[in-house]
Amino acid sequence: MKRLLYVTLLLACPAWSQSVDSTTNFTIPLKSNFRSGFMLEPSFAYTLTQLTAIKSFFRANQVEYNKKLDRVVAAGFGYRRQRMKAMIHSFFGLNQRLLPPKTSGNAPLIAQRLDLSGIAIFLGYDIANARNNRAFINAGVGSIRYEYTLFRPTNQQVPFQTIFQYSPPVSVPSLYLDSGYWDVNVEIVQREKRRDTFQWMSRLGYRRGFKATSWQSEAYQLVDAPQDRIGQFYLQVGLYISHNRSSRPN
Amino acid sequence: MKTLLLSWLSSLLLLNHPHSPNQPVQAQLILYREKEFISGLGKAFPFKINDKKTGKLSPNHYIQLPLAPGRIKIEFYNDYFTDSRPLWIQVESGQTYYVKAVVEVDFWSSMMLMAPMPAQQALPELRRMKPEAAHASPQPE
Repeated sequence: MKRLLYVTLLLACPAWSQSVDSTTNFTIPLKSNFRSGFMLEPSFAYTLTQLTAIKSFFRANQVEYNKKLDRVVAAGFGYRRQRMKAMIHSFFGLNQRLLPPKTSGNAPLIAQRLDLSGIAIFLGYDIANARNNRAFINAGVGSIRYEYTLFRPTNQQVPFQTIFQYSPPVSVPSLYLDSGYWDVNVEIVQREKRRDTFQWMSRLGYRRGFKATSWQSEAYQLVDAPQDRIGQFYLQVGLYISHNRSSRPN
Repeated sequence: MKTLLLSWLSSLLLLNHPHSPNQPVQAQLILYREKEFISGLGKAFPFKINDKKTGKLSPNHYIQLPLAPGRIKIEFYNDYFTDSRPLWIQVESGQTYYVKAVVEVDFWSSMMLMAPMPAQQALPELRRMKPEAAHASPQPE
């Protein structure tokens, strides 16, 4: 009788364990803990550029210039170790055309931005260290170049082979500012969840020239040129392509 | 015989008071959501219990709900979640169940993870949390 009871119990047990209850199987995993990682970062930014001296010069001389935000693409490479991060960035402004010009009457002089580029190095610290996000405060230094070309659009017909015989009435082929700057930004990035992964990133920052520097030209040696201390607010969105490591390989 | 009768009577009394045998003692569910990065900006996500819309839960908040004994299903639903992972619990009357919910976000996916927690782990976590204000009462679909 006793043996029969044991056998019945043995048979009954698997039936009991079949009830897949979350109570027994579910646990919440700890947040991912990759000790270090490399990341490659393509990104895009909208930039509000402050160049007070040159812009007031443009306004004073009825020069039309672009008042919209600068659009910038950037590429970065970085290394993260725990909550610290070091990055190197370079960025390039996308072409900004003000054409087609106003053809009726006297066309205004146009200042078209040619170059907006720079390079910077950053150090950052993650203040959040949350399950799904990292929030880095980054600080860095870099160098920036901002360039205009000034010309007056005309309806003049010019055969290409003779283009050098013509010189437009008013033109400044190149007007540029080279400056060193400091840069501070707040970066929110998804926390890495896998060894090789993508992460969404966004960044809000400000860069400012170390000091006011004179505008220069590649075509002329300028004397008494206006001086500007560049300032740029930027909102950047991008992607991390990262490779992460849990610990040092033994 | 007398003792047997007495014990039978007392058991009847116990069963009848305070609940009738047809209305079993309810269980308690304490559902809480982990603190997130800037929890104040975190969205409150709605959840269903046994496929019935029950309420919403914000990060760093908890909600206390009565449960009828039996097998229950807790599920968060929102367009934000790309995956749904409902939690099933066998609820016994008179017990208190602590369930922790955590939003897990990866590059393309997001879901609410849930797990029952032992009281000794849940209570210290709950101490720092706020009760969810509204939505506490079950709403009809």
